[in-house]
This record gives sequence, C-alpha cells and structure tokens, in this order.
Amino acid sequence: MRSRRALAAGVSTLCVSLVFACAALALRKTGGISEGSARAVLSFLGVLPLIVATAGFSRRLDAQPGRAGAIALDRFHGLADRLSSALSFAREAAPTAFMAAAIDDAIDRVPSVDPKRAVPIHAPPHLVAACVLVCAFAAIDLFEVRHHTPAAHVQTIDAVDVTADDLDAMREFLDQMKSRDQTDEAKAATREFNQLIEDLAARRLDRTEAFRRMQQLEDKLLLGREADAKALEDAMKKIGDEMKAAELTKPAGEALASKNLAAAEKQLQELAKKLREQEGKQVDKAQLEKMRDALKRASGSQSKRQEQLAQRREELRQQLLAQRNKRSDGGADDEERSLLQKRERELERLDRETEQSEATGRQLDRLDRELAKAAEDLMKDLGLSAQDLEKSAEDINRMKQQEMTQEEKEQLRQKLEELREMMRQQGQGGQGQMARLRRFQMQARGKGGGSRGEQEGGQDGQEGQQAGQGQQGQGQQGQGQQGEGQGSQGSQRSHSAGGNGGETWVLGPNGQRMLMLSQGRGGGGEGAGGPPAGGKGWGTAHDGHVEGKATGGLSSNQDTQVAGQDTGQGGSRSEVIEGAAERGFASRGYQKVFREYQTVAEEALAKDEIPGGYRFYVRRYFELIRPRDEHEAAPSANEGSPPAARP
Amino acid sequence: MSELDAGAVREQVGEFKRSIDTLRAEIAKAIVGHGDVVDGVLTCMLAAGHALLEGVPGLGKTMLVRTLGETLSLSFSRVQFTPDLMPADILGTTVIDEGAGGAKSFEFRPGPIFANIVLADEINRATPKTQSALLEAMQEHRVSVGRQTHVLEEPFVVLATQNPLEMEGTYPLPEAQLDRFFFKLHVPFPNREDLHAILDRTTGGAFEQPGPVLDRARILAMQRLVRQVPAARHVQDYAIRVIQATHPDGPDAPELARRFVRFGASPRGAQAVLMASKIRALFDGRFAASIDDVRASAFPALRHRVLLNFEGEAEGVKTDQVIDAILKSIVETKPDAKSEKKGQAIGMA
Repeated sequence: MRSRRALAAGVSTLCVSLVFACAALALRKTGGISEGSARAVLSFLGVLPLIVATAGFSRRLDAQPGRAGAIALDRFHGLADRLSSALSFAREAAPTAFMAAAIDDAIDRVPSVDPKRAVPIHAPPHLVAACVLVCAFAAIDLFEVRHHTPAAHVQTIDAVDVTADDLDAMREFLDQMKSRDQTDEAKAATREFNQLIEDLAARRLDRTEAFRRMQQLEDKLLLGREADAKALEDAMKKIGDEMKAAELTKPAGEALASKNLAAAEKQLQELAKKLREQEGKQVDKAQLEKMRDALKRASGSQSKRQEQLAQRREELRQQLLAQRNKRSDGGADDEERSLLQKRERELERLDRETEQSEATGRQLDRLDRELAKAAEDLMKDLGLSAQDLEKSAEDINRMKQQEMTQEEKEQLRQKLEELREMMRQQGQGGQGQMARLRRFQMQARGKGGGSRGEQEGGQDGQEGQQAGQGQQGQGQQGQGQQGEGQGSQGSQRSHSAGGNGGETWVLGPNGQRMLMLSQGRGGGGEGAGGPPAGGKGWGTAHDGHVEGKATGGLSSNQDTQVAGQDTGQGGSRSEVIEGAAERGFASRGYQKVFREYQTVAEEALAKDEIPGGYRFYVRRYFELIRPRDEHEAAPSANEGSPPAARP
Repeated sequence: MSELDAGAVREQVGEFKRSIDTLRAEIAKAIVGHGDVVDGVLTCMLAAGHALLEGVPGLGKTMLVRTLGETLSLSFSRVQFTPDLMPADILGTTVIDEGAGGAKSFEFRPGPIFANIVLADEINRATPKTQSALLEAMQEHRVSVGRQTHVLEEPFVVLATQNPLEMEGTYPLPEAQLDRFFFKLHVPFPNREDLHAILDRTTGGAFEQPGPVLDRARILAMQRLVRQVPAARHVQDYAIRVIQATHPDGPDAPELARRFVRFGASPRGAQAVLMASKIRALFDGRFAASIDDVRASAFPALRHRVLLNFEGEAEGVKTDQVIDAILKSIVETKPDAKSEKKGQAIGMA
C-alpha cells in the first residue's frame, strides 16, 4: 500500500515538476533565464518527485499501523472487518472469549486472502499525463530556438554632408590655386586640401574626422608663418622710407614702401649694375654718402625699433614692479590699481610687439646685414657694394617668394576656415537646411526643382521624384542657357506643327522676340491643321491623322544649331538678376553682373568695412550665388548621393 | 482466554444463528417478504428495545407483530390506540375486590402493557397523555400505578405502528417518546413476487399456521449473548463519528446535515446503532460487529432520532437522505491515536 501511495504521489509530483520543467526549459531556450538558473531549477524539479515518493513511502498509512492492510483485505474479500477487528482484539490485554473466537475466525480466513489482489499496484492515475508531459519536455528540449544573431554590423560612419555645389566651389578654388606657379610647400598644402575635399565628396569622413583633418591642415598652414605679414610689410615699408632719402636708392625704396617686392628687387639689381658700371669712374661722392647713410639707417631701423621696444618694455616693467610692491604694502587706491592694470595690459601689448618685431627681425636680419655691408663697402669698393646689393635683391626675392607662399597658404587657410564654418553652420541647421540649400543650388544650376517634395537623396524613396524634377529642370536650363536667344516654346510649336521649315521664336538682345528661320527636322509629317495644298486660305478641317506620320529618315534633313550672339546689350541688371533667379546662375549677363557686385563686396571686405563676424556670411553669400559654368550646370546624377571621388 | 472458551462461543453463536434462522423461517410462513423489517423487529427484541413500524395500511404490520408473538412462547397483547384511549386502559387500574369473606380490598388489574410483546397499533391516534403512559414502561420496564410499581416481565417489547398518511386527528409522537424506540422501521410495499406469494397464501385454501419455536428462556439467553459480542475500536469509532455527524455542528457533518438538521441523534442512538450492529453480526454468525453492520443499522436506529429544521421540512428532505449523506461522507479508516493508546475494544458484558 505504501508503494502504491508512493508511486501515485511520485507520479503526481512528477506531473507538476514536468510542467514547471517545461516552463523553465522554454524560458532557457528563449533566453529568459540563465543556464545556471535553468540547471538549478531542473535539478530541483528532478529530485522533487523522488523526495515526495520517498515521503509517501515512509509516512505511515492513514489508518492505524497494521490495520490499513487488514481493512483493505476485509474490503476486497468481503470479510466484514474480520481481519481488522481481529488485529484490534489481538492488542487487547485481556481479550474476551468472543474476541478470541473472532481472532480464530480471522485466522481461519487468512489463508484465503490474497494481498496482491486486495492491494494491487495499479498504474498511477496521472501516469498518462506524466507521459505526455515527458514527451512535451523532450520536444521542448529538442526544439532548437533560432537565435538571430545579427550580422556583424558594418561600421559605417555618419559622413559629414556637404553639398556637391559647395564641393564644386572648393574644387574650383583649388583648381585656381593649382594653376598658379606655386612653391612646393603651397603645392603640398593644396594637394592636401584637395584630398580633404575629395574625401568629403566621397563621404569618407565623419564630422569629427573632417574637423580633425581641417585642424591638422590649418596647423600646417600656420606652421611656416613666423611673423605677422603685416608687421613684415611695415618693417619693409620703413626700410623703403629710409632708402627713399638717397637719390640712388629712391626707386628701390619707393618700391619697398609700396610693398612691391618685385620692383624693389629689380631696382636693387639695377642699382648694383649701375654701381658696377661706375666702378673705377668718377662718382658723385655726396650721392654715395647719402646712399650709405640711407642704407645704414635702413639696416638699423629694425634693430633701433627693437631697442626702443625693449627699452620701453623695460621701463614699463620697472614701473609695474614698483606699483606691485606698493600695492602689496596696502597703500594702493582704486586709481592706482586701475593704472596698474592699464600698465599691465600695455606691457602685454609690448610683449606681443616685441615678439612680432623679433620674428620680423629674424626674417629681415639677412637683408639688414647685406644692406649694412653694402653701406660699408660703398665707400671702399663699389664692386663689393654692388655685390652686397645684389645679395640684398636676392633676399628681397626670397622674401617675395615667401610672401607669395604665405599668401597662398593664407588663402588656403581662409578657404579652410570658410569650409569649417560652413560645415559647422550646416551641422547646426540640420537636414532641413541642407535640403533647402540643395534645392537652392539646383535652382542656381538651372535645374529647377522648387518642389517642396524634393528632399535629400537617399531619403525614403524620394529619389525617383527628385530625378524627375531634375529632368524637368534640364529643360529649363536650356532656356536659361539661351536666355537671350532661343525660346523653347516657339521651337516646340514649330515641331508640333510638323512643318517642313523650322520657325523658331528666340529671345534676342534686350529680350526682344525674334523669329528665326531654320530647316526643320520633321520633314515627313503632315502639317496638322495646316493649310491644304493649293488652297488660298486656312482650312476648316484637319486631316484624320492628327498626329501625322512617323518621322522618316534623317538623310534629307540637316541639323542646325542656333545660338544667340553676345552683343553686350543684354537686359538690365534687374532683368538679368530676375532671369537668373528663375533660370539659374549660368547666363553670361549674370556673370557680368555678379563680378561687379563681387568686386564691390571684396573691396568692402578688404577695407574692413564689414565686421569680422559677418565676413563669412558675405563670402558665403557670394559663393552661393556665384555663376555656374555650363559644364557645372550639367545634370549631376550623384547630387544628393555620395559623389564619386575624383582621381 | 482458553481454547475452551472460544469453542463455547463458537457454539453459542452457532446456536444463536440457528435459532434466528428457525424463527425467520417460521415467521416467513405467515409473512411474505419484509425480511429487513422482520430482522429489525427481531433485533429490537434481542436488544430489549422497542420498534416503531411505519407504513401505509394493509402492508402487514399488525400481522407481522402478531406472527412474532405466535412464534415465540411469550405473552402477547394488542392495544388499538384511539383518541379516547386512557392511560389506565393500557397500564391497568385498581379495582375493589370482594374476597371470599366479604372483605373488600383494592386489587390491581394489569393492563395490556403487562405482556412480553405489546402491539401498540396506530399509536399516533392516542392523545399525548396516553402515549406518555408508555414512557416509563418502555424505558424502565415497569409500571407505576398509584403508589405501587409493577415490574414488567422480561422480555418486554413494544411494537408500535403508525400510519404516515392519515394525519387528520392524530397526535405525532413527541421526541422523548420517539427516542424510546430502538428502531423505526419503514414497512415497504411488497414487490411483484411477494405480492404473488401473498395472494397465493391468503386467497388459497391451505394456510400454514406458524408455531412457537423459541421460549422465553431462550430469548433471554440470546439477549445476554448479544451483549457479549465485541466491537473493534475502529468500528465503534465509526459509529460515534456517524452519530456526531448527525449534529449540524458536528466535525464530520455533511452539508445536508448542517443545513437541514435541527437536532442530531442522542447517545441512546449510538447505543442503538452499536447494539444493532452486534446483533446483525450474530445474525450473520460472526463474532464481532463490523462497519458494514453499523452502516446497515444506522438508518432504522437514527431516522427517528434526527430532527429536521423548518427549512428541511419545507424542502421535503427525508431523514434517510441525511443519514445516507452522512454515511457517504464519513471516512472508514480515520486514524485514531487515542484508540491506539488505549487499544480498547467494546465488549458490553
């Protein structure tokens, strides 16, 4: 009976355990719980039925010990509690005769009882459920949950977005730089700048990398600039002013004073030549004396200026020290403190000037020495002096070359600065600003696309729409290119008429419409609505083949290209600008107007009439409205998508 | 315990069974079917108790009791209860008796109660006062008339009948009176075969008359033997739990008992159940009572001792339904630690 109970309890518990085990296994398969937790739970659930079965076997039966079996036998064999009663009577201390008789009666019945039949070990009631659950557990165990391991994510960068038009502008600038006679240093800087632009065009740079590259390039551009160019020019001007005092060095001095280093070099070489020619001849000593003084002063002007700066700086420093000591004693009032601060600022300014002067002095040191030597040799040996002047001319030439390099580098740096500022502002403006910018640039190229639906390329399936707009814009571009001449409507009209001759309305100078006669293309078509052959008037009907026959071979036709002539008598500025706004910035008239305005703007920028913070916007504005060349206005298939890198 | 004692018991039990079988057979000469009712009446007689037979008229209740009286060499009296029946009509009365010398004296003339077997026919037709006259006789087996108490001769068995249909002009027995009855037996309508037998016997010419088979001494000996029959502790515990379950607030009371029972069975009911179980064991030739005996005895012993409440009466619930629900709800093999310690069996010597 205990075995039966243990088996039943164990199987029942097994069912419960299997339910939880299935749940735990499913959770493990789906990643709900960890491997360790699943193992712990399954182990516990595996042991639990054994524990329960053991407990069921160990625990005493519900009836009194030893009586449960007797009761079961009594029930099965219909013994009317003979056995159980006998067992009860047997425990009596003093059994009566009836009890003894009852015990004897039970003993007599014992041989006939069959405990196996009375307490059979049937299949536990939940055995089927347990088997089903075991199958379910096995099925879950065999079921392999597919883990969708995402493919290794391709490292893509959030490439910085620069419009193709801006990149074209940069390329144009770099092409101009390349076309100049550059030094190796400038060439290297230009090449690096070009590489940066191409990387941006190929969308190989993210924002951080792009700014890092720009900073790196700017550092290189600033590296060779030892002295402030303006300070150098000032120093050269002073040298020139000193040299202007003598008749012989006056041309060279004037050239230096006007910052024309090439002329100064040339004048010095001529002076050296003149001195060599006069060697051995009678020369005007007074002029030579003046020239010597002038060269001396010229050579010493820079050192004198440095000495003055150093002296002034030293005085100021001493005063500052004294005031600081006084202030530390506690005797300084507000006025003295203000004065102290003022002097501190002046000292800082002097420090900067001294540094500039020293840097300028290092560049002018060789020229100073050559001029000083020429002055000394002038009274002794004109040939030597001429040689010194030639060396001075070489120095000036070297400085001129350096200045040219610096100028180019400065232009590159400025362009780099513009690029950086443009990227910064476009980054702040977001996608909306970029979309508007692209729309504007497409309009500027004469490709229309004023539609609102135009968005950035690659955005959610709008590329097709964008392409369609591009085609439409191309037609308008044709109008823009021939803005002063050809009119497409007339052309279309003549083509639709299918006439034999080409009658084309074109816009002539000053916007006048002109009818141009040319040999048409559609020779094979019947004129729809045209006058009947031989008739005197217009017909009242039309041929049944309204569309006319298909165009025949072109062998009998001849293509004629008609272009307007630039007579220099285009429309007014306002008309040109309005036309450019409608059809793009590619017309010749617009180029002319643009140059005029840009020149004024450049002059204003050069004269510092524009505040520093607005210079970028002025330059950016003119860059955006710059005239587009014809090749530039050609449809760009990769607008809005990463353009192919240039080789 | 000796081997001899056990053998004697075997002999006595065998003799008991043979006597009962003989008695049954003799009664069966006049009574067709109604085996359970006959056994119930015999059980009451052997337990020195009284029986209340309930059934519609014409089922042979009176016939059964009369037959029993004929088969036993015992005195038999019948009292037809009517509303004008007085207690003295049952118990007897004191009359003035004039002796041979002319001396007059009061003399007690015993009533029909002074018999070994008393048939109280249609007992519920008598007034409660008259019904109450039976109380002392049934419980104490004696009658007090005036200042004299008259002991009734053993065995004394009152077999009362009542008709459940005719409630007009009847006086339902009070609870105290009902509790005096050992069994309340329902006399069922005979089945088809029994009816054939009844008709054959009663409408034919030949009718075998039952004769006495047991005398008074034998019956008293059988009554003594009955009380020696033991009941195992778990059997007795089962009987107790059944009795407890008849109470609405009992630990094992089923929902039916909790809802419809007003009062449960008294300890007298437990005595009746266990005693009837023992007698039933002897009827079967066994030496000890069993749980099945308890189950079989529970209905006649408890059905008149379980009182339904108003809701139960209104719902038409029968006490047999309540007892049946109790027997189904009581687990036979409930551990009894107390009984384990004591290891005591009931043997009413």
